[in-house]
Amino acid sequence: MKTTKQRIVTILVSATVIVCMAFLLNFLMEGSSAEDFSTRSLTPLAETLPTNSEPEQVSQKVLFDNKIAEYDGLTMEVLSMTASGNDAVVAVRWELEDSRDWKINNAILKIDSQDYSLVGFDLVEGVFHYADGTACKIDMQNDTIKDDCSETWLQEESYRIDRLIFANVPGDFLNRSVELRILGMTAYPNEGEYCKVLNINNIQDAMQEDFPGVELECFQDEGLLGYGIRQDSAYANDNKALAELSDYATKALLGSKAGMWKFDLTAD
Amino acid sequence: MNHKQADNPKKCKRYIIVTVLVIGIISILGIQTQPGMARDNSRRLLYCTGSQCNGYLPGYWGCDANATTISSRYILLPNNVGINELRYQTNCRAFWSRTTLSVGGYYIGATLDRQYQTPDYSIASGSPLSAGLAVYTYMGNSLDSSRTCGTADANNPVPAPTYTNCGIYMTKSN
Repeated sequence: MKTTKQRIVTILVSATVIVCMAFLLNFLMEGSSAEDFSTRSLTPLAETLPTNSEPEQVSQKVLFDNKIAEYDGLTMEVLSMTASGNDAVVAVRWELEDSRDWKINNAILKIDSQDYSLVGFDLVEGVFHYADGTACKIDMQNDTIKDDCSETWLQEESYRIDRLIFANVPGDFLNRSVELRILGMTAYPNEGEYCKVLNINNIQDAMQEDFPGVELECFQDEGLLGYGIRQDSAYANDNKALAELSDYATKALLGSKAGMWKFDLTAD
Repeated sequence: MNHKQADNPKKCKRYIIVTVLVIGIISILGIQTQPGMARDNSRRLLYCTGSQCNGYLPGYWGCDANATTISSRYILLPNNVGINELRYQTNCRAFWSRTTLSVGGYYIGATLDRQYQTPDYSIASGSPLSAGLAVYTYMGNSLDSSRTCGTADANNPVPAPTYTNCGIYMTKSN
């Protein structure tokens, strides 16, 4: 009877150890596969602008060799200009100041004497240095993302090449006088850093002089990033207080860099 | 014989203690093998990958860290009041859509339009928002062709989903 008990215990222990070893093996394999992803072999940087997703109606593309402008220590270069249906698409390479997700938010394409506003941009390629010390290169090929994350990219300067889109331009704009003016860029916090960057307590302190006792709140969950005056506090519906809060918040949230990077893109 | 009889309970106790310890250690290490998780040794965080991210908010798995905007469209009414972004994260291999107001007083909505998958992921504000506020959708697998859409409206809530001001479809390579 005693021997049987011992056997049962031994079998139970052995079975448990086997199951646990299987878990451990699975865990180690998961770890190594994640590591493989982060240390894949590198793809060399393309020397020229890679082929990108140009809509089928593309008719003409002008490549530029030395269209470079610098302002406040930040260099931009226009690589090409394309007629794409009713749109003008200008490929611009520009340096990233830091690890934030910078984007060009103000640009004007002047064709003859008419201004056309920026309607959006699509990434062509970029090297990104992130806040946690990692880096990736993202390369778009025919609207397909190829990315490579490795410490090697930390040795490269961080940059983006974006296709800036200007809509409803004249069909023959490539033969007209064309000037690109990039007027500014902005950076907005990542979803999980919104309240940290906003620092609502600092804003609340700053607003006490004009609105004593005002209480603010910040929220970053369930798909909504926002701030406001607490409904149960004074000034909850005070328009002046809301306007001042909005001013403080946009200054805190939006990194911005203004400038004038100007390019004459008129055909020779 | 009596001596052996006295030893057996001790051996049993030892077995039990060792077993409990082993199970405890393995459980602590092995917890990271649950479905929907992966581990990146470079940053010591858990995150989802690809289809495992479907239907989760990016912050849930930490996918918002190191995210990059790969496509965007400004909301021009006709002045620029906000931006739609297709956000992408390399480790998570996931997309999501975000719409941010740059001018206060508008309802906003964002949709991650997944070309060949259902459902599309959408979100809309229930009231007009201030400048600097944003809404963002659940994540979708970046192997599924997706684009960002979104808009703003001064008077009425934006329908969810919305398919205006859309960018181009993008896909992660295999």
